[in-house]
Amino acid sequence: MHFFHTYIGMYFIQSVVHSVVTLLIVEMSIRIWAVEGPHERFRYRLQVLLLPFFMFPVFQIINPQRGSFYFIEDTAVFSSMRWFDMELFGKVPLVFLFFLVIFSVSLVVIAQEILPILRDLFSKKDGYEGRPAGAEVDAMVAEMSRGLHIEKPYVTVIDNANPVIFTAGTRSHEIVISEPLLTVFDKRELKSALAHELAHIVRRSNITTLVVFLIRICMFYNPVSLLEFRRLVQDDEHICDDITVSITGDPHGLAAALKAFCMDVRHESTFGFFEIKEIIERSSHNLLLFERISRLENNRISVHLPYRWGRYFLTLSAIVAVNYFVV
Amino acid sequence: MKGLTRLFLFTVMVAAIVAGLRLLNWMPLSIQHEGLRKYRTVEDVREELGIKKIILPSYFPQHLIWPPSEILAQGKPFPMVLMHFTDRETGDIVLAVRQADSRLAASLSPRIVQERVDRRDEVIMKGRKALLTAGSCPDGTPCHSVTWREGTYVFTVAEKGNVQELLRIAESMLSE
Repeated sequence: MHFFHTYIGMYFIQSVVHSVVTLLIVEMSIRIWAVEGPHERFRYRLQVLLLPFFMFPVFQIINPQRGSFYFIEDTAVFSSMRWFDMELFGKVPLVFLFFLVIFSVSLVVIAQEILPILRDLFSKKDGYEGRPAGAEVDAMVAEMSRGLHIEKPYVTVIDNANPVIFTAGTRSHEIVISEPLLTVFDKRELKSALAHELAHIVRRSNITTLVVFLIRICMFYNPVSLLEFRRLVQDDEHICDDITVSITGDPHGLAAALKAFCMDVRHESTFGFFEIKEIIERSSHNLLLFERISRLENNRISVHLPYRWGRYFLTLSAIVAVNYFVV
Repeated sequence: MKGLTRLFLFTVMVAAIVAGLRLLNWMPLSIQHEGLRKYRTVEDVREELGIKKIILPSYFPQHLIWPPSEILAQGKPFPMVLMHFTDRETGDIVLAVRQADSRLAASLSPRIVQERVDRRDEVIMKGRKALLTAGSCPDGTPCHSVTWREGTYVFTVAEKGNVQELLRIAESMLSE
């Protein structure tokens, strides 16, 4: 119990509570301000991940008495410790339930994200083994790179039975594409898929995602960060989809290319734990893809309202002001 | 939707979140009554927490306002009552009386906080040993406190002002 009254314990609790409050304000602001563009949504949602990481220490520097009983009693709008000091059935403090939640979330993050990354890091070789993509693909990438004013990345074709395409590297980039995609895709689909990867390079998605990911890893215990990071990645994909369409002028080409990445979901009568896990993962992967496909096929155009930055800073101010009084 | 309508909705949304947080903040107090919280009167503390023995000073200087401007008390994990009194003229809190169970490891500090301690003396009050601490508050005004043990409770009286008055108030809380 004493741990949760220390600075580190208070950080754990308040960063989670601040995340919840920030999430509420951000998501409602997105609706009220009718924020439709993925770029703007990304900027709003980034606050949910970044602000709770910094707010507690900054608030404590501004007012070291912020955690005191008198601040809670006289000034605070909400005190999480009032709830966590409560006892369930007069025996178990509620803070232990909170601890159980953050412990479970931490396990999920470690198993699903940190361990695979470490495994990948230790087994990483220099570059990807494969063959050059060939003159036609190279010419296509070179032309689009010129239009985007970026250095033409190297394209490697790897021997992998799954449909895979991604961009590796943070400074010098390499587009990696799996062999089957070259036969499955027609020319316009291939162009769209490659343009999408170039869009990631233009946006420096790998660096942005890495920085955001590092903050998320620091907040490994925070369930809100876990969810919001995935939404940010989806917003980033939307931004790159829009850039792709601006390059190719062909939203249906990209939508058709995305369909190649949809996974089969098996329907069997008996399932074990790992089968269920796989079905959930495949279904959620497909859901995200279907959402992007539908967005492209319906050619949704974002309407930008005036005073974008004004609305953004108003939202930011509201988040900081409200959270200052949440302890 | 017009810009002003959106701004109005945004204000309503922030107000609703603050109101919701306030409601959530009030709920634990209404569910569990024994935690540290504010009370309106000493009688309320006696009735709701069952702390029968709450000792009040029988000597009460004219410049202080009765009843206490603030009463904070808890029943769990161990009983504690803290009262603050304000000055009639300035409206500042100038006297704090705390009665805390001796098993309470860290009890709530009064609002009168000594920033600098000049000296600590052992004094005898009606035959009981007490510790008198003289010093000054953050605003530079002299403030002193006296602490003694009586049965299962530890009493602390802190005052902004002179030591003689503080000791007189403290002594008035003791029986012969």
